[in-house]
Amino acid sequence: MLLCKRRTRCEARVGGSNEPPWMASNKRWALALLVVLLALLAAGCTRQKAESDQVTLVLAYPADQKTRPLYRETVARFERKHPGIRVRLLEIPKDYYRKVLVMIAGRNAPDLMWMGQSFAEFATRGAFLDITDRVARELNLEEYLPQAIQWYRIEGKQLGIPFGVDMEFIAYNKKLFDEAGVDYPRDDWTLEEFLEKAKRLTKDRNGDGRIDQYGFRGGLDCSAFGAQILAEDGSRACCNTPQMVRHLQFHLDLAHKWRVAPLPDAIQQEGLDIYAAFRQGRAAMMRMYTWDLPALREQCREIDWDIVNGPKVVQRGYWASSQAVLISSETRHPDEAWLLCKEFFGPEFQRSMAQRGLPTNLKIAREVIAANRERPANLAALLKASDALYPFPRVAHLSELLQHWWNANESVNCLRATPEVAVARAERAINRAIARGR
Amino acid sequence: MRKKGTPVKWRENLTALAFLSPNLIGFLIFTLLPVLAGFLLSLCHWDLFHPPRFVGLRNFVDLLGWYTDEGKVHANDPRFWKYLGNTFFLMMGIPINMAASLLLAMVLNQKLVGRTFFRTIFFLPTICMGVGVMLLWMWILNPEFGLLNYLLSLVNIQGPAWLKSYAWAKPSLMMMQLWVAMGGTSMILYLAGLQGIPPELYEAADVDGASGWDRFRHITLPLLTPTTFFIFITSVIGGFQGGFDAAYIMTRGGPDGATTTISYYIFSHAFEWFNMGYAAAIAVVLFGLVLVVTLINWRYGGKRVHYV
Repeated sequence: MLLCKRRTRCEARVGGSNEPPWMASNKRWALALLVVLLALLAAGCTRQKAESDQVTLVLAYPADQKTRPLYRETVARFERKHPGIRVRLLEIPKDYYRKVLVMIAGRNAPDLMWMGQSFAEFATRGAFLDITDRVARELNLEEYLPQAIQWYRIEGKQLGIPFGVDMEFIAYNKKLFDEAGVDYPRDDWTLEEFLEKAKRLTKDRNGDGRIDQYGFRGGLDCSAFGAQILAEDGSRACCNTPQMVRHLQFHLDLAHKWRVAPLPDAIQQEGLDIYAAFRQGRAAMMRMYTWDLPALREQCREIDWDIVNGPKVVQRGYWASSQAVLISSETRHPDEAWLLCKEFFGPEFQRSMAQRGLPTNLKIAREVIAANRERPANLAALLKASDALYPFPRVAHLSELLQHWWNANESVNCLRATPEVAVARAERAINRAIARGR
Repeated sequence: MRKKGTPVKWRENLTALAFLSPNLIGFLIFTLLPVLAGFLLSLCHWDLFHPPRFVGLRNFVDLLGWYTDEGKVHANDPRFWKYLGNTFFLMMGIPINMAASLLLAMVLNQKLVGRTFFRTIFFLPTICMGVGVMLLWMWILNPEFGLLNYLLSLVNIQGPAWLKSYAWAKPSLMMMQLWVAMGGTSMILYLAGLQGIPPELYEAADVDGASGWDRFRHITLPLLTPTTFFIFITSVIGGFQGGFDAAYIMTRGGPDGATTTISYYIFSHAFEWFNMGYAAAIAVVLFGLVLVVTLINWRYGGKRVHYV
């Protein structure tokens, strides 16, 4: 009887079909599920409204173990000074530029963002706010390293004030120098002195025919040879010169002729321990960068090491880049963003970041160097090098143009092309890319 | 009898749609729409900072066109052709991987002690995290203190620079892919295929005095053609799209572009060089290439498939 009643109810509902009752119930669940999914989808696509009584700024930066506490401390200090402004830190440990690029493309750019070597590629595409007037009103630029300030000026507009300069140097193992009876290098040393020391520091310790300790590991910047890859304005390639050929040949000879260096690192093997060779005494001298300093202090504390600027070849020349926090041109709070931006080229932050770069405020740089009691003892080398820094030109397609150069460089390192052929190939490829607008 | 378009029919269709909706919505938003957007973007110049600007077929001309200089013909983008060649070179590992998987499957199909244990061991590289595997191989292939060159030095062979050598970089990646792939999904599929072959056929062959090689050639191989066909098609499609992770993590496409594949080239243009439109054009060309090759495989490969 019950079964018949159920069937009748069912038949009445579905127009006389023999559809089981569970199907009708499932239809309701399915429709409900569809509605919930659509609602979730709609909710996921909406933006949160900012609270009306408080400004929230988003600051993106490449976070690591060392910089994270420094940025958080600076932000906490800023928020205490400005209670109406909250700062949300977007800490990006890997693939920083790609993450920020995608945010900009999605019209969700952070209000402020850290920039390093790729500054020009973002700046030439209008990513940053022009702060020329604010800087002129509130800052005394004479306190800062003039070339570093110039690096952040594009088409007459000041887009940022850097807080630190990154540069290369040569770290050396004092114990290996003492064992070989070689004098420590000086900041004004020449290429001949460099080569002589490298030869005396290259050893086959156990006599098996394989070199266990190389005199040098790394390279010297092409600027020291009087060469450059691109014109300053990025309008053409300048790599097809005898100076550049000499630069490439020198590095080939380091590995193949004088055998004072291992085969050139054609590829940056990220993820491997790049300090192992230095720490284990397999390299008496090694080219490193200022951002390596914290890791060197931590991982190489058992060895006695110091730093020196690279040798003079035809001139003193060192690769450099810089770091700054810049304001996005899309920010809705430019005044508040400027207040926060000032915090990041102010004295406290510059002092805290001095452990991994040269502060751009000259007074602070001198103070930090004078107060330095830990390794490297010769921290002053960084300031001495500041008048011979050669960053890459600030051009829109720097990464792509440089890729042509790296390919040519690698072809020399792999012995697939002579330096003359490689620089000519690079020049053609770079000029063609510039002509095509890429 | 239900008529077409009756309320019952509509309700049933709606129910079916509701059950399919999670998958359909996901497919629409995350697959179909991006693919269509990719086709449209390939006709635009887009640097990600400004709205896309329509440029017609300019990206394709820059990619596939040529120019003459002093009587010589040069490709507009010689790197594209070089990296396409790299992609094809790396795909040469596909038949090797398939052969190795088949061999392993045949061995593991035998009634051996610890068969399950060995099947698990050989499948482990497939389920290990890709980045971890690649970092491990970077250590193994390091020319100065890597395991492989150390083992070679024990037999007085000086190993090459592997990932740092233009000649050996691609074979190094193929070696790693073989290690990962031979005990992977292909082996599982072949195992399933082997177990689907009726044993009576082997018994009949034994009665006729067939050797092991005859049994393999005339029974095993033909009856595995459906599996082989499927693995080949999917491997070729995967091969065209692959090579990115190894290039990104292990070699950054070097040395001198030796390990840059088309997928890495697309990534470089899109996310490193701000050329999203050009990257989309390369992706469209890759799509066309994969489509043509797959159609050829279906047309000619399908005829050679034998079913039980």
